[in-house]
Amino acid sequence: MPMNSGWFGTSILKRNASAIAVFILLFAAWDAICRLVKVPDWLLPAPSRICEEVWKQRSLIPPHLFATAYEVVLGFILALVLGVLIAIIIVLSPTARKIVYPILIFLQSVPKVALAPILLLWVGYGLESKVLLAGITAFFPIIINSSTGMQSVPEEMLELTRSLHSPSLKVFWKVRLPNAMPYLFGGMKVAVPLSLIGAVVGEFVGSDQGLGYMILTYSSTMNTSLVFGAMFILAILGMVLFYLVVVAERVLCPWYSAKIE
Amino acid sequence: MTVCLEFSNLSMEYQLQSGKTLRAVSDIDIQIKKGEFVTLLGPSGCGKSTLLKIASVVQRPTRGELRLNGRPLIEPTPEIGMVFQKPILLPWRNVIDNVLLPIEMMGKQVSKSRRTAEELLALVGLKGFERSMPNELSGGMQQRVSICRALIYEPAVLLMDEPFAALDAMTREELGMELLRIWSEHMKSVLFVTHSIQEGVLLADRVIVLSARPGRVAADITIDLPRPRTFEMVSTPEYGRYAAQIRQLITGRKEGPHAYE
Repeated sequence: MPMNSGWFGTSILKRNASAIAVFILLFAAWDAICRLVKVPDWLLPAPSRICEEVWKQRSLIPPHLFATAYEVVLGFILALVLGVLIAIIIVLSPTARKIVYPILIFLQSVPKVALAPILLLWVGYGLESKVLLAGITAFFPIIINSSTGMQSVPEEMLELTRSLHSPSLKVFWKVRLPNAMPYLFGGMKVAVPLSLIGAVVGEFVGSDQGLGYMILTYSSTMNTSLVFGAMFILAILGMVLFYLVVVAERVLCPWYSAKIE
Repeated sequence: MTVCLEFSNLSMEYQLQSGKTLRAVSDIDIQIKKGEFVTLLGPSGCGKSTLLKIASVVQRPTRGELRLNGRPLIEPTPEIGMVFQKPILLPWRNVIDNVLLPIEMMGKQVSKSRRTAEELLALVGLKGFERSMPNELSGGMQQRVSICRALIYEPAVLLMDEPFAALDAMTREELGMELLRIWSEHMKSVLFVTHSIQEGVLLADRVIVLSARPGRVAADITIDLPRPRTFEMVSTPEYGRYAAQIRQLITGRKEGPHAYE
């Protein structure tokens, strides 16, 4: 598929028209039910009430949104750098793989929520603990996917490079790493929502800002509308980051995006 | 003519998981002369691929020796070029960069070989496709690119492992004739594995027929059809005799020349 068919503006609406229509319909139904059955706002607010409340508190939300977005993005970058580095080590050294793999699986098996209080204890209530938590929650799929990608070079291609006496570092840069790119992006797509979870969990356990903190505070004061509002903003943040990864994938691996179109 | 590639009293055994040994090929003596086109035919499982793996020094034979220009061949070398069943192009590189990959991998100066790459591509009818990406090409075109990639570093011997097997019949016939044209200009020794008797006879100076497992040389038939070869030769009585003889060797039955066409 050529890259020129617009990514922005009307075409994105047109392409997702049916999904958007279903969304609107669902929200309308939700709104109608809440009004007809007279569900109290503290239990399940109607979408219109959520919008109203978010609009009323609009000056309050951006600092929280930016705080969370900052944590998520930094945590994601941490996961990406750490994940790819560990993947490279795993792929290049079988010994390292034997040592690192069990540790990774152990770490992955620890519920990150359980890790949160300890991390807060160690690095404090500030930004660092949230970034760390987001990073740790998200880096597993990046390691798994990028190491798989580096290892899934066709055997014939490796035979060819061997017969040419290519240095393994060159094979790594010119063959293994680019080969891993589509896999890496697959891992990143899984990692985006995970880093969001990590950051919010961190905020739940201890913080004074962020959308997670907002959810916690307003649910304790029974302002359910704002809790829902924060939740939707979180979801939108996740979607935006997800689509940023998709756009990056299209730019960096056009050969692959063309195949899945 | 001087001998180029030589299999000398060569056997290959595999240790199976059950503890039994499987003899894939046995007592193979094949000499391929400089500039000779040899095809390797045989029933499936007769060890054709094993022989190619040994020739490309991916595997070492259990017994016997492989020699190139009189010297024992014990490690992969750029003197042996490979064309695989699938094109195995790097999807992120355009056509000419795929052709130039071996040059890059060998650490040679790429700019010096660019002209050669363009000439090779023109030779296989891909002039104007130098900047195309592999996924924009048909299977036949991709296989042409992979042939250019094998020729760019001028190996003494070209190993071809059923290179046209994945293509449709028309493209296959066309590419076979094209390969002969390239071969007549570049005068490489070619060892070509195929399942098709027609392809085997039409392309070759010599057809080597292997017996069923363990593969032994059942017959070494010199094909005395005039060059340049054409498709119409399929209807000559000479071709018919060769095809019938080979078919009988492979299936062990006497049939008309076209019984399995």
